[in-house]
Amino acid sequence: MNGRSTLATFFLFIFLLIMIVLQVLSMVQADRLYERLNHLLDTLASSRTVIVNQGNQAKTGAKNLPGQEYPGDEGDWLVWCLDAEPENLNPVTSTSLYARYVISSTIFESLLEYDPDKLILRPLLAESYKISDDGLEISFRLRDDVHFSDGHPITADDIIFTYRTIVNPKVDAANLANYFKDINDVIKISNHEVKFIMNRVYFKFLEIIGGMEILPEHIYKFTDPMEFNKKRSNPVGSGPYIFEKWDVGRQVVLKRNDNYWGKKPKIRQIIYRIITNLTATVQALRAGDIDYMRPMPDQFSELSRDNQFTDKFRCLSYWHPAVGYFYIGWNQQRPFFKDARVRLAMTHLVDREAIRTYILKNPDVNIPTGPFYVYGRQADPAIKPWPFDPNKAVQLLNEAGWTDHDGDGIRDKDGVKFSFRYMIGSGLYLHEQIAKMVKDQAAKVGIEVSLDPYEWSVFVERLHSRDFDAVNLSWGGGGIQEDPYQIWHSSQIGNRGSNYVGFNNPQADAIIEEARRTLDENKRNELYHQFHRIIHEEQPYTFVYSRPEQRFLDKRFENVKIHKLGINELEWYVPKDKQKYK
Amino acid sequence: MIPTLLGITIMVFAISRIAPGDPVSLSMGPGGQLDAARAADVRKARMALYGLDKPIPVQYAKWLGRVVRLDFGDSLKHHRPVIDIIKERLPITLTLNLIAFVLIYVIALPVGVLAAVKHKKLFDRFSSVILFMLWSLPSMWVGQMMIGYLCGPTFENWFPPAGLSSNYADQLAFFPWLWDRLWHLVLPVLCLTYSGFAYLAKQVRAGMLDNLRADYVRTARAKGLSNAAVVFHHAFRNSVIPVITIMATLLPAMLGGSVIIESIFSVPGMGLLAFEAVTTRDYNVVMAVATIGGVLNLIGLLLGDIAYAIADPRISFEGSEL
Amino acid sequence: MSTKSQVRESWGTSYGQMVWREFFKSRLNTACMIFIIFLFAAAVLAPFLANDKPFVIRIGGQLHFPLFGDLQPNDYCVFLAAIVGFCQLLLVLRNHRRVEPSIRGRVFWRQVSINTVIMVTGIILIFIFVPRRLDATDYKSMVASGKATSAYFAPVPYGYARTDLKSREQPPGREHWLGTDDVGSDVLCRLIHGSRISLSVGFVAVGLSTVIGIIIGAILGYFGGKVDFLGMRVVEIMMAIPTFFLIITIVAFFPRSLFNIMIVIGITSWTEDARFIRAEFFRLRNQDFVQAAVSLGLPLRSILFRHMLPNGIAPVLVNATFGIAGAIFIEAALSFLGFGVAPPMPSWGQMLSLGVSTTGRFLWWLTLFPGMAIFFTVLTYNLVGEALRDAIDPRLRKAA
Repeated sequence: MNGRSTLATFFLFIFLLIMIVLQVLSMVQADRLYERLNHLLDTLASSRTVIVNQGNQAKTGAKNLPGQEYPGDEGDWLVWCLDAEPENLNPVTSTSLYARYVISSTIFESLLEYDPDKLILRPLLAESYKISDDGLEISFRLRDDVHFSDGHPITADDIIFTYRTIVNPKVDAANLANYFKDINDVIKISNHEVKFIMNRVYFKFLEIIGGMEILPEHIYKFTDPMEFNKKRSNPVGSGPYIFEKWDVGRQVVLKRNDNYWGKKPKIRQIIYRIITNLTATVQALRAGDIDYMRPMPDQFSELSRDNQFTDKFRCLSYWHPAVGYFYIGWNQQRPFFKDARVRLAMTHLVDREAIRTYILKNPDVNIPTGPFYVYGRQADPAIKPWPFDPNKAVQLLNEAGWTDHDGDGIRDKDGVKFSFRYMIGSGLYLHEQIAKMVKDQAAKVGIEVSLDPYEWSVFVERLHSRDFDAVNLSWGGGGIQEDPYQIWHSSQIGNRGSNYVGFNNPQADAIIEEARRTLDENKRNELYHQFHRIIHEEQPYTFVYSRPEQRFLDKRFENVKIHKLGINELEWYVPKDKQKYK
Repeated sequence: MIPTLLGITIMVFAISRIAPGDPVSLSMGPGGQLDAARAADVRKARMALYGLDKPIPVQYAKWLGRVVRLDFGDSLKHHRPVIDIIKERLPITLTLNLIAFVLIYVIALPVGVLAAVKHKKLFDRFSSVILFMLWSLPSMWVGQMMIGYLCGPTFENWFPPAGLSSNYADQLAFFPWLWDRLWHLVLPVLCLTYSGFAYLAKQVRAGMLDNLRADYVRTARAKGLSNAAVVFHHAFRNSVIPVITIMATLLPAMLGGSVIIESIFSVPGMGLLAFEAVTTRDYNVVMAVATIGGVLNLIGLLLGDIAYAIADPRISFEGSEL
Repeated sequence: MSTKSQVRESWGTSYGQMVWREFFKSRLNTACMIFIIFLFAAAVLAPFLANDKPFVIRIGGQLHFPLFGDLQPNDYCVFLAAIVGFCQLLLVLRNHRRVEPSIRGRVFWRQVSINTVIMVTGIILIFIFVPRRLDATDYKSMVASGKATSAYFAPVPYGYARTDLKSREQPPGREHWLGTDDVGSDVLCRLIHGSRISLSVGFVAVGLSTVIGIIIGAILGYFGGKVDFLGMRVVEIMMAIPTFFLIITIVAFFPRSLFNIMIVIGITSWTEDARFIRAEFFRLRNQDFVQAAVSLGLPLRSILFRHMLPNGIAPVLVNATFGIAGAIFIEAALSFLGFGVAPPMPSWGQMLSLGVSTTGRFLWWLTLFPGMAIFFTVLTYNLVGEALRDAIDPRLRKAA
């Protein structure tokens, strides 16, 4: 650095650096173009085999194309927004709800499906099914004309392969395999017929087996189970959409399966964009970057009242059996909540009406009284929720022996102060608001509450090890016919089971077990009504709210119908003149 | 450098393992799907699958053995090789930080020099006030205000609110794609830049002030050199030395500070990756990020030291003499 | 016989006095110090400024003092700390007038140690004897319904944990001067109580990091050689780990409490101070007075802390003021991300995070006021640090 000014060399250096960076970027771009070219060639190659196969099938016999087409014009894309990324697009090993959004009904199909309005199971890939008289055997007969997206026909071998993969102990599918626990085996009767044999009668087996998503054996077969565990992407199934690509962290793209055996949807492409920040999602919706999203309750209540917003977007709010509920769980193994009267007193202290009106701002929200779907047949409609009544709460607390013996303003009993720790997940606004409300209300009757926010992984750990006094959580619904065994049976208290609060009621246990064996739905529902009444008296949870499913959707989509089971994105279309993407 | 790296990895390893919670119970989650009787077995099987059931020092030794071969393992959450994930995210963070870095220097140096030259005049006082205010603004506040005011249909809609590229970016040719990228980067870079630039400008000003009062500058002026020559040729080159050392500390600070910016603007970079990995106990990713972050930091420090030694011929590398 | 004032004049002006005088020459600095004193007053007197219980209330002819009865042990500790600090300040001023310079240092440290002992015993006694109370009677409704005849409330008559769902997310108005937050708590009240959190985090965290930094830096700087080599590796390790990352990991381990956060911030930010002290000690090590002390055979801690440290402390003090601003920033960032103190404890960062609702609706009063609070506090500390640096640096004084 002698003589010449260093400033000039500095800027020269920066200039060179920028040139190099631009060169590298253009090389990257060229790479991507090559990739696209290769991808196009691949698709061409695969469609060639499809055409060949279709030709073959036409020779073997008349296909009966099921159903007519969906109404409307063909074309356009649907851009969903997910607020978390699915880690895995393999239907057997994935445990995340978001993966379901992406692959269920779009890429993969099952033997049976639920009729969206009558709410009973009807055949999809199967042509028919039969349950034996003793209820221990179910046989399925496959349709002749169903095939995967690459043209291979679906056979009994694929069903058997899927089942065996799920129950293979070395495959990372413990959650799913648990449902198949008491299924003994499956027998292949013919190329298109299988029979499942069970160990005991359980009313949910039909749903479980019928809902198994069928994997193509020729694509997913493996010698070492770790191979299968590692197959996280490039899902191939028989459904109306095929997987195109997954830009990790950004989006998953599905393209319409033009070779689909069934009713072809009109939307040509579905893109699942991943935006974790809730505010940014709404901004993206309004800017036209995305078409479809799941809003938070306050976003929905505010924007559905905004005329500017509703001019361009549909605000859908609908009920379906899997909506679930939000609750406060009282740990019965702690001294505070052993007595049912105390738990009832706590329920009387939660002003659920105020939560519905001021926090959720949605009069459609339901205050549940039990764990079943509020509009389903398992819940007893005669049971009404306990009202917000601090005076009654005081009375109950006094009855249970919790009074202020030492004059410090905090209730106590047997030397234990009624001061408990309320565990919430950190960063979850709704949890926090409800918790702050409960704390304030409890303070007014002499109960000291300290809030414990934990980040999610620690939260889950403490939940499993029962290290909490009270907890905020929500359950997603179990569906049309829910089995309360896993949450409410006393056998699920130990061993990190799902009975987190330690609910132990022999009468309830007996009812649950009997209901599992009852195949007749009406008799079963009567049993569940009894169970519902027990829960209402014991109040192991305070059921805070159950809210309808809410969505925002760009108004250009038509044929958006709300069925009893929810909405079916596959039947939407966009009129030609409003189509946005080519 | 190697012992430092080892120390970093040991510390991060120990802390992440001691912290409660693990990825297996997280993936088993609070979902009510698992029968209690099987839950314990499943958990044991899963832990064995990921190698998490061995004692901690053994796990560390195994990890170290793999890392030496540059195999960072698979992410326990995404189930993909960690290297791939980092390969996707690191360039984004580096781009963000390097652009901010360059901008900081390009703006701060002239401003600092000018403020020192026009000491106590209007420019100096005015810029001092502005710099102080910029330095004291919390970055999350600024980020939120910018998204609220500049990205939505309610006020202005100049910039996109999230992400790195628009939906249709794949179908663009090179320059439109670059342009789209830059457009998305403007706000995050702005947020990263303003505080670093304030700090640096003040340092430059302080250094320049020191030097402009020194004797050799007075001699230079007395000799009749032009003002520009005095300022740039003499004073500036001597005051640039502390600025170079700051370069070494600025880069790691930016890598850490970008967690907030990345989460506000939904930019999928290393900061967000580290944050997610820590909260989901994705041990492999956490260790990989710590290692790579540590390596980058050490390189930055080393470069700073080398630059310092080159710039100032008085400094020798021998260390302390007693 | 020289008079008292003549004796005092012969003492000359000490280093501290010179810095003090230089510092207060500028009006901006005076304004900053006044603001800081005002912040401190707000923090210490918070329960008297914003409380939903009245000072005095007359129920059925009898006088009650609910506010005083509801003071928690924490409040008493804060009062004790404020009183002790104030007394120490007065003592320092007295020292400068009555005590001879050569023994002033010893006297000062003796006073500080006595005060520390008083504080520690005081805190222990407070926690033993003052019970935790819970008093959530609604005094305002008592007044409204007429059960109570007269009552005097604090200027901001709201409690920071009181929820009022009907008035959630209200903009500033007559009832709530700065608006309400997401569950209906008054913003001004939470702002005042939040100053306690911010200031205490600032001081304790910085105090901790300075003490650690000084000890480590002194040892490294004095010994040099192998000790320095090993020590610098440790310092580099601490510097190379992204601090924020480390803080989040540690915070996840311990239960949420203000104390834990302060400690965590303290033990992750000592590296700067250590480097400063080490550099200073390198410089001082070869000076004559140090060599003299060594050859006299003085004990090590005496050499380090009585002889060398006072000469090298200046940049550390300056760094400490910037550190306070930094600690406030970090705490705000942590609360913003959801890792800060447990709700409903008021924290400026947490209030800031509520500023933009999830719909994108801009709740300007939840963004502006906490943001300005953080901004002005940090600004003042930065200005004070800067001014302190200018005051300490003799070259600038000569030049000016």
